[in-house]
Amino acid sequence: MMHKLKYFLREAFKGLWRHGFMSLLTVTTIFIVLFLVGLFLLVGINIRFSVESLSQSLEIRLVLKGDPTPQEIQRVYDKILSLDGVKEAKFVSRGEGLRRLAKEIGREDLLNLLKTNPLPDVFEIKVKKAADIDNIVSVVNNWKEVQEVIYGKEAARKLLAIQRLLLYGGGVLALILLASALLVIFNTIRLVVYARREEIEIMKLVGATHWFIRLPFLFEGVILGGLGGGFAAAALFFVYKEALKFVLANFPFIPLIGDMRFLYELCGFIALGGLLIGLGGGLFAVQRLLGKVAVE
Amino acid sequence: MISFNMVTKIYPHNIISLRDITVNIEKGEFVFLIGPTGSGKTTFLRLIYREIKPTRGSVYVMGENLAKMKERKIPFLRRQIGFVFQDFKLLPYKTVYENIAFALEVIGYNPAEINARVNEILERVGLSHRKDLLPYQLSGGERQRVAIARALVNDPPILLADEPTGNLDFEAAKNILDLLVEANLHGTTVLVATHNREIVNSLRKRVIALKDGVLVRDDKEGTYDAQA
Ligand SMILES: Nc1ncnc2c1ncn2[C@@H]1O[C@H](COP(=O)(O)OP(=O)(O)OP(=O)(O)O)[C@@H](O)[C@H]1O
Ligand SMILES: [Mg+2]
Repeated sequence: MMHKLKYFLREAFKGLWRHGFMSLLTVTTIFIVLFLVGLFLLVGINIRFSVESLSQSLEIRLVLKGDPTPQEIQRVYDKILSLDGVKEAKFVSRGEGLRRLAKEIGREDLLNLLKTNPLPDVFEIKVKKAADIDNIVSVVNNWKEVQEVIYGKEAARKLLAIQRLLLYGGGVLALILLASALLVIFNTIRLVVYARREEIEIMKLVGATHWFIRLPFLFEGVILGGLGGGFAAAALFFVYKEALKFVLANFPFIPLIGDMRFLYELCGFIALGGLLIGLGGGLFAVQRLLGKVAVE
Repeated sequence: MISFNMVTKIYPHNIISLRDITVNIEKGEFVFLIGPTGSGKTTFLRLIYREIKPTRGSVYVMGENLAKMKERKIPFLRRQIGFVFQDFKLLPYKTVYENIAFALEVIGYNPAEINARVNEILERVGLSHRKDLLPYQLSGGERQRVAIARALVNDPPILLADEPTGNLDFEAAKNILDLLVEANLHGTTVLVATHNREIVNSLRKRVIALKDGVLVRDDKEGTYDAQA
């Protein structure tokens, strides 16, 4: 068993070395493809992140009619929380509203000045996604306790448009990227297959089992894919860290994700992707070769 | 050892390469397979190592019906059969020694045994002094001897050779045939497809002749041309 394992590893490394140019080409291809995929994901995730944080700052203000009792206020509060897409709701009484206003204009004696409080009771609702705003507004508009609904109609519309663009544009881009990645990898495999067909033909003739033929190829695939994926992950890690530094220093208002956990996960995902591409590509290549001898 | 029973092989485009062939080759025989180009010799050999299946009829090798043989058993059939081709089929980046050892490695021999067997067979084909050279550094006859060494290194019961002397002069061809005859003396059943009239006539072995896919002659101690 040990000498078989040694044989597979030795053959794998010899094969990689012998076909040095092909090996280099394959690692480079996988590196480029995965680096681009990773970059795409990094940009996409960050844009989503900022759009989401923007959506969450969108607010619906629910102005209540007249002078509701605490029970009525509680009922409205429960109804709001039971709506889809509501992140949180906060009750701001007319007293609280006046205190805020007084603070904003810097006149602590505002109530004395006005004699009576002209402000209504209000609920401030925060949503999870910009897309939910329209729905929520149309529902709460029909409630009898509600006097008026105030929200950033334009802002919501624009955010929605951006999100839609990102979704479709990103989807199309992702498809193009995926298709070209597959094409490039497929072509690389064809070259590898062409370079190796003689070797496999002879292995078959002298009675090697399919698994015996496959294994060195799979080892090679995993080594090449792992290298390509590993380099891509390292490059992405470096690029993002530098980008984070740069943006923080020059454009601090752009909300990039600062939590490094997501970067670790993404890089791990990319490296794993490389391994799998290598394994799958190796298997695919050797399968094509094994199938070459037609059995009519 | 090898038996064909009403074997017909039709390739795509309706090319009939063998027609109703029935023939029996016993253990330990030495057989020449002759016939003009396109008569079906290579097809005959390919049927024996299950590279292809017959369209009709059955092929038995060592008691096994090849048409019914499971795909994953084919490698084990091939370990019983050595092959020699006109174009040698050596791996260009492996040395003489490695090319022969390769045949044992892929069927799972351990390193010590591989070393012993390869050195012994190199001695037998007279190439011990060439073992660290690459195929391109050898003459055609030497390359064919490497191929024969590879085919014989695991002592297969059957040896198939498809025009093994095609590219060689008479001396080199004779030398190759001597190796095949010697293997035959050790008990290996040998089947050689060839165009080489002198070789066939000088050895006087069994001759099976094909023409347009039909078996036209089967002589015990035959010659290349039909005797009057
Ligand atoms: N894969 C194939 N597909 C279609 N036809 C084929 C195929 N292989 C061989 N043939 C045809 O089958 C016939 C017999 O071919 P085969 O190779 O067996 O002849 P041969 O006796 O070995 O000839 P040669 O002496 O030239 O090697 C020929 O007419 C050939 O064209
Ligand atoms: Mg032929």
